[in-house]
Amino acid sequence: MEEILYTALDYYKGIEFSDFYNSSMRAVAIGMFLSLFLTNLLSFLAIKKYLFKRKFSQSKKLALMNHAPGISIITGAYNESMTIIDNVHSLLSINYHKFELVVVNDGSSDDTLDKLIKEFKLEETKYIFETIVQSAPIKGIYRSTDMAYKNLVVIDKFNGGGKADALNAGLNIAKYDYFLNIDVDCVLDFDTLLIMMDVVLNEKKRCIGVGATLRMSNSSFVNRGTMENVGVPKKLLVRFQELEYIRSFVLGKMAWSYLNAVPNISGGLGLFDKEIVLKIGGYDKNSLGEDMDLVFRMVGYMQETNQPYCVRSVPRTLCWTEGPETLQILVRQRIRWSRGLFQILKKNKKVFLNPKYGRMGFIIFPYNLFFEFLSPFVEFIGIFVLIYNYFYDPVAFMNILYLIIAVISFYIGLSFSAVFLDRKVFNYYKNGFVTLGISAMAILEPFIYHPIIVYCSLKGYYDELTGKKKKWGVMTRKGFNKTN
Amino acid sequence: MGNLLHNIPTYLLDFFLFNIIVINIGMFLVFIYNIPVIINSEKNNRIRNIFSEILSEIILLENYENTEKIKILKKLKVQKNRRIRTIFIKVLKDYSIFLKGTEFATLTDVYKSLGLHVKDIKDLDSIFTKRVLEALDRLNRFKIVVNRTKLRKLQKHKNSDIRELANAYTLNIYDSDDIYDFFDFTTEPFTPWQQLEYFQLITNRPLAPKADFGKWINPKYESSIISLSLDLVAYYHQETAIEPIHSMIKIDHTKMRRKMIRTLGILNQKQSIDVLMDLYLKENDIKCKTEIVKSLGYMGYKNEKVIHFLEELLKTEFHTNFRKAILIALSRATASESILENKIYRYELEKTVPDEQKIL
Amino acid sequence: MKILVTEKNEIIRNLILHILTKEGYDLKLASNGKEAFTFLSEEKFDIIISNIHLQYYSGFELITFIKSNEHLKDTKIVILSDNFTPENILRLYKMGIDDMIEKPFTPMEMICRLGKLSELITKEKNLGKFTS
Repeated sequence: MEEILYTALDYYKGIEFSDFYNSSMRAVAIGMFLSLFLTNLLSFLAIKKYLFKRKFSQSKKLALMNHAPGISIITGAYNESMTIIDNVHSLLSINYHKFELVVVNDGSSDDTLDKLIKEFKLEETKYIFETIVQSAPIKGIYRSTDMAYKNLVVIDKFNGGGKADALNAGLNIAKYDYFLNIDVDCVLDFDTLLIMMDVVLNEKKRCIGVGATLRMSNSSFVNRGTMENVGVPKKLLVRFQELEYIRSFVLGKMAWSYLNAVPNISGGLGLFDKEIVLKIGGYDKNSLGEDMDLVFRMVGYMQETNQPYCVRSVPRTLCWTEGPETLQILVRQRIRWSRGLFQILKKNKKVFLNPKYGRMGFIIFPYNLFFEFLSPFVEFIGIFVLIYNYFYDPVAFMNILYLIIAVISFYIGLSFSAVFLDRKVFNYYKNGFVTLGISAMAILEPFIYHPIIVYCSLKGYYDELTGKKKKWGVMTRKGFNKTN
Repeated sequence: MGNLLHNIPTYLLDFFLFNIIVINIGMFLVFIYNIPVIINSEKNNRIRNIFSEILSEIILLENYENTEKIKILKKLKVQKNRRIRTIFIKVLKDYSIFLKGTEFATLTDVYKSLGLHVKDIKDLDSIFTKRVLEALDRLNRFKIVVNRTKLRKLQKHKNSDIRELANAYTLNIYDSDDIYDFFDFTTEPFTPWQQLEYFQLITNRPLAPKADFGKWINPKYESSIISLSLDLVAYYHQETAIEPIHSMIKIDHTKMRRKMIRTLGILNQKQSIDVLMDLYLKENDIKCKTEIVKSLGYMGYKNEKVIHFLEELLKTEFHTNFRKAILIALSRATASESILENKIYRYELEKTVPDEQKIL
Repeated sequence: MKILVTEKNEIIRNLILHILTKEGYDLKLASNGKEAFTFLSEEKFDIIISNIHLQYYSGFELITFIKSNEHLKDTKIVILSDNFTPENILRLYKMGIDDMIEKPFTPMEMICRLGKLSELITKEKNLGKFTS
């Protein structure tokens, strides 16, 4: 046994300073540098193109948008008694000429439904419709007797085990050709529907999904569902999340959007083509990452049927969502996300490097496999290798330490450029200091936040592998800060 | 420690240093980005307010007097200073979006008398896409007529945004019969936005020359052009388009087929009845079938053949929405409300629809 | 004649301010639903000009608020919007508005429509004096 270990160590030492090791390390370094540069370049180009188009279409907007397709906003509410009224009010006053709001009361045990009935003067109505996608049974459908709330539809149904089921029920009832999938606790920008539909209308290929940037609403002031004051989050954990979201949306998603290879549209805000979603059978109840699962299946379907399509992302922040403030809830959320990722990769194995699936097989799937899925493993093993070398091989230790520091500084550079790009384009923060404050989180991130994420990813994969029971968990609502 | 440092691979060191530099520059940029923006914005706001006031006064004057106000504007260096000119043009544009009629003409006069359109026409030849677009946008908005040949060139420009705007301009400004020729030479499909836009532009100009839009309902044209033509044919009730539609009705593309069926319904001509009934027998898509039924309802007013056809359908079709459509079409064809009263309001639908989920 | 103008676009707001003060109306300006709501709760207006899509409270909610409130029931409602789809028009008239102005508009149009409404208001007030 010892001999095997010694030969393994010798072999390892052998490759250490060999040319193979050196040149591969060089390749890694150059690769990372290039990808930092490329991501920045692509997202910068995408954002510039977007802003330019916006400037022009704004002046043409007026009468034309009256003929744009209608949108059904579908949202599921489970025990949202505290904030439901404000949220529904804010959604009903969105700036769009033709939309309906479908609120699915997903078997709430509190007084969510009663509050809705009272506030919006709802009354139960007979509805004959066709069930195109399966969902848990519906108890009743309510509409308002007050003409001011004519475009509100409330569905009361039994709990089907998650958001996916609620959305499926809503899909059967929704009447327009496009639907917007949001979380009911999100605060949307006033012009959200206009901005997203604008993207859909200006594409030459069929646009099947549009996403936008999300941000933390934790320290912002919200009144009657309208964002009054965008505040930078104060709690440390939320600040990390804010930075992560900016980096992921402004840099990541925009670069992907430029290449028409967006892997995922967040469940917090997404506009989709209803026909395609119905054709693939709606949302998957059993998936823990139902938003990514939907996009994967939609793209797969379009590739299989050889239809040209595109999936885009809007760089502007259109949705503010409440991020987990305690470690416990954050961990639960991230474990769920990584389980979802694992499920999706398993489910869609067939697209890997499959020419039939085009971009999906050669860009989206490999990227998610190597950079999202495998990276926690690499990092974890890297820590062990580092510790081992500290005791046994100081030279190698220094080498690996420098490699790690180089990688960390790469990510810090990425974060800074993301915040800078976002700041240059959309002025959400009050001043330079605040922005600097958020960017500086990037320096603390590798030591405080990132290990948590790595742990959650690994635990998620382990749970998924061992087939642990799936739990969504309850997100305790703090509600929004009210202005005095 | 010393010889450890010697052993560091140089490329890693370089990479590390590079990243440190990038971070520092990034921090610096993030911090200083604000400063010039703040300095200028206050001055800009002041000037913008002054322009707003002047324009409001100009708009509300009964008899617009050129010279005095224009002199003021000239004094404010609108013609000379680029920054001020940009702000002024933006304010002018913002006002012009919300006005029409004489007030709009007044704003156009202001624009012209300051000679701003001259620079815009010159800009059309610029190599910078952004400049061409902005100039063309202004000329379009203020309805300044430009040489047609120059515009034809722009309609074939390599940048698609310029092509789109040039097409819109052509539809908006010119009066000759050939303003629709870009339907023929366009190299790529129209986006849904372009379809909306061109439709609006054509239908909003009552004095514009009308073409026979059925001309473009032809397999050699791309489907977005055919779609736009169908909308226009329906809007203008061009019965000459019926033949082309009849010959194309059996195409594969479901959405297009549906639209054609709907257009036939709007055009409401007896010749289409047989074509549609014939199509129905071979039709597989439920939505197309619904459209056929709807259109037959419009066309088959007191037509025995249609009424019989629809009644036969009632005996075999049980799909909820489809049945509803058949009943409505039947009530239109027979011009009697009683069918609706009898069948729908007595919830006969519910008795014949076992599989579908109902609300009770 | 007191008028409340709720318009989210600053330029139009200013323009309307100029147009109507010249005509001798007494104006109050609001830029979103919340301000409009506050003004409506504080004082009585003769006419209210408003958008449909506003932040905080939509135009529809303002209309129901006015119609259901004893003190405000007589306020004339004019909707100023760029968003008049056939369904919306029907809905608005069913809710009981008095007039609509579509953007883009001419100042003369606004003056004429408001002139007619204020004539109506004066007539109603005089009638009220007669009967009470």
